[in-house]
Amino acid sequence: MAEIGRISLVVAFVVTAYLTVASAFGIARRQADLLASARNGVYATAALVSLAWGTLLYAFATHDFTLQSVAHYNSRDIDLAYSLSGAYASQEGSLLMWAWGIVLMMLVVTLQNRGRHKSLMPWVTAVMGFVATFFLSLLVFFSDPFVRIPVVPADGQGLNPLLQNVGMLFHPPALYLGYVAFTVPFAFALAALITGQLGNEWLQITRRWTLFAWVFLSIGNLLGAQWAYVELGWGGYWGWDPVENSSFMPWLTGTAFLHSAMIQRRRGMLKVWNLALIVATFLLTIFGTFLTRSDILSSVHTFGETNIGPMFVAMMLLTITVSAALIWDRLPLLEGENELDSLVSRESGFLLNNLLLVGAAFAVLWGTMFPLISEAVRGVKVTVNAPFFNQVVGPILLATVILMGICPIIGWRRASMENLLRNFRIPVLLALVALVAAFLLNASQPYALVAFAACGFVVGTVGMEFFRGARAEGRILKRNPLFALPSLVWGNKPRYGGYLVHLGIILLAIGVVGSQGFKVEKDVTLSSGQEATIGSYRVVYGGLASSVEGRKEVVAGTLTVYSGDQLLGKMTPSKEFYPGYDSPNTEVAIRSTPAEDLYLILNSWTSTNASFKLVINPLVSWIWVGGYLLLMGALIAFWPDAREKRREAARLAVERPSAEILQTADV
Amino acid sequence: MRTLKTTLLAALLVGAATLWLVYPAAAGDPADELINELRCPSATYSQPLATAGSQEALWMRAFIRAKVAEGWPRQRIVDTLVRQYGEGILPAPTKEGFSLAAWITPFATIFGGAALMGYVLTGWLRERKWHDAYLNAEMARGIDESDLQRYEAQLSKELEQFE
Repeated sequence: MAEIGRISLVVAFVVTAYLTVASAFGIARRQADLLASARNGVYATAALVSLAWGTLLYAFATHDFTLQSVAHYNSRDIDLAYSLSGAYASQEGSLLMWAWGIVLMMLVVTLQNRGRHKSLMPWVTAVMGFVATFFLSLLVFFSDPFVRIPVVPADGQGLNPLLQNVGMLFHPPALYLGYVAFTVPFAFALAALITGQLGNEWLQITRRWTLFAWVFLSIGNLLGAQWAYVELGWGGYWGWDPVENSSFMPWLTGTAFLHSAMIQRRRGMLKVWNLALIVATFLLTIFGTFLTRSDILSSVHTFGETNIGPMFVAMMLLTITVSAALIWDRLPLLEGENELDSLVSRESGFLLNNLLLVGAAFAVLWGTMFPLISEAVRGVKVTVNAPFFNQVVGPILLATVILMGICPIIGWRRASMENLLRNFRIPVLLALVALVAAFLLNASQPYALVAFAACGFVVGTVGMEFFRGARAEGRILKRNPLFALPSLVWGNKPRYGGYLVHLGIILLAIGVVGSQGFKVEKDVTLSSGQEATIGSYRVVYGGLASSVEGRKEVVAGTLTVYSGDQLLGKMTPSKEFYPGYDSPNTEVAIRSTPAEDLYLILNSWTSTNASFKLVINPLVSWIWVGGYLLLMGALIAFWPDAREKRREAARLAVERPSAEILQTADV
Repeated sequence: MRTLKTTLLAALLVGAATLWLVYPAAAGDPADELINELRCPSATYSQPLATAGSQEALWMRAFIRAKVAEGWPRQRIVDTLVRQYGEGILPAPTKEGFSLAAWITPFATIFGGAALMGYVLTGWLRERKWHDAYLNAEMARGIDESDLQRYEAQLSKELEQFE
């Protein structure tokens, strides 16, 4: 079987390289047969890489330990779902998943646009084909997932216990989908630069792809945070680890792009900026993939020492050079169709929001790379960890949250001061209510108080938008505004879906501020029958129990939890010992309520006592609920919109005659 | 309008007063706090001291607890450990010397970007004002009869060519 996978990859590499060249030459020389053959190449490479990926999954499912990657990341005792997830736990497998993702997206883009955008599509295929060729070349020449092992073991080493968590089944695929999908708007941007079709067409075509990429990157990051929270056992969910940072940076620039693209679609402005942003986002996805495989920065998430780092550096340099040269060459065509009418306008707000989001991405990049910079300049290795990012990135993100509230209530083009004051009245009052409420609920840090007030402000602006919209819709439909709400949202999905996303971000921000600012933790050592208190909880230690579950040995401490005199239940934080692993795996015990999580960690024990870390993490569940709301809003914004279709049809009706004149050959 | 201004002013004052009234958070065990902050020197500082299982980590944790119990000030404990294991055990770069650049650069970049953005935007607005003023002046002046005839002739010629 492995030979089928290996041969499929080699043939896919050749076919993808061919289709890249054929597509570029075909459009440059206007040879329809070459373009048709490139299109067939897309179908073929999608089938071939799918076959290779299927072969690898089959090898993992059937525990084929003749393959090195299976022997290293699989064992007979783990169930099918984790067996399959072992395929992308290895470096080779994860690269194959990247390649599979990009060829499938190339296939979908080709099918979606069959017979449409005839001058753009060949270049889109060429760019995506080039990216796919790069990943396939890594698999064929440097990181073969189908390498045989010289001595076949009876059983494999097994999947790292930390990765045996439900979140880990979905976290890497979601992140990869996000990373890979940003290739689509990047490819359309380069195609627009090459063809000189620098209007809004490429943005219209890729709006959903950008949203798709952004949503999956968001889900991937959230699932990663949830996994870290329940599995890593240090009491938090985001540690500003280099690899976490590498998936956060494209999220930030992608968010900036989603907003600035709106200005170009609406006002024909910021064309250079949008191109630069999507190039930067694509580069950051490649950088993130590189960071996990380069071993240049130490992280708990990296794949260890590899030899493919220089290839990624070359790819990034090539992307920067080609994109910058194309943008420079096309500058005369990138003049904005409109100019700013006033500094107090939604356009200015969006610009400032872009500056802050890109600034935050830069701050994260700078902090991530600073240990290397310090070592190069001073020869001293420094650590850049949560305190740095909280102090530097935190205020920037807080300012972004405030702008998130301001932008929707400022009009496009120009806003009058009177209008502004009228629109700001309720949100400012809500901000004040939030501030006082937070203070009364014992919030004591100024930073947290400002953050809660900012969240109140945004809830006020978004709430006002929904209220006004529902009231108007209710008048038209002659219904109660509350019952008109679904029709309002469904009638303008991108707008109200976007507002729901904003609300999701606010819930998330409340959770982050609450859990960062008001976390309480305590280390205690207890003998059987002894108790400790934390917050309003009282925990009584009932002793340790040891058991064997499959391959692992579990040592669990039982703690009976009370709130005052009321019994809440028993919690059993534990350590799991797996053969072949030096350090035990920490299994935390969590009791979650909307107000706070009681989070218990078993640290160590002796024959007479056990040490625990007791943590109260306020408002953590708001983060996950915010994530669901964000997903729901994004799905609504993503859903096909009848008005959008009508606008697209009208636009095509206007553009078609001129396009027919311009296109000299049916290519 | 006056009511609105009063409301906003009151909001600002109450907000400021609330911030002024805030009190510092209650302090926890100083040894635990320090252990939770620092990094373990083994494995290139990738693990928190609180959870690392290396020999250095065990020694550092015991050292911190012992010195806190002896009444050493926090900074003295940190300085001693930094001398022994390097700056990497600190959770963030120091705010002096070259490491200060770590803290300043992101904000300097954003302020620089904001200044550049402000310069470009005000330039656009100035240009727009001149343009509008020029158009207004032209409109006020009106179009000469001879210019009008010339434009009409050119338009007819181009329309003929287009057809």
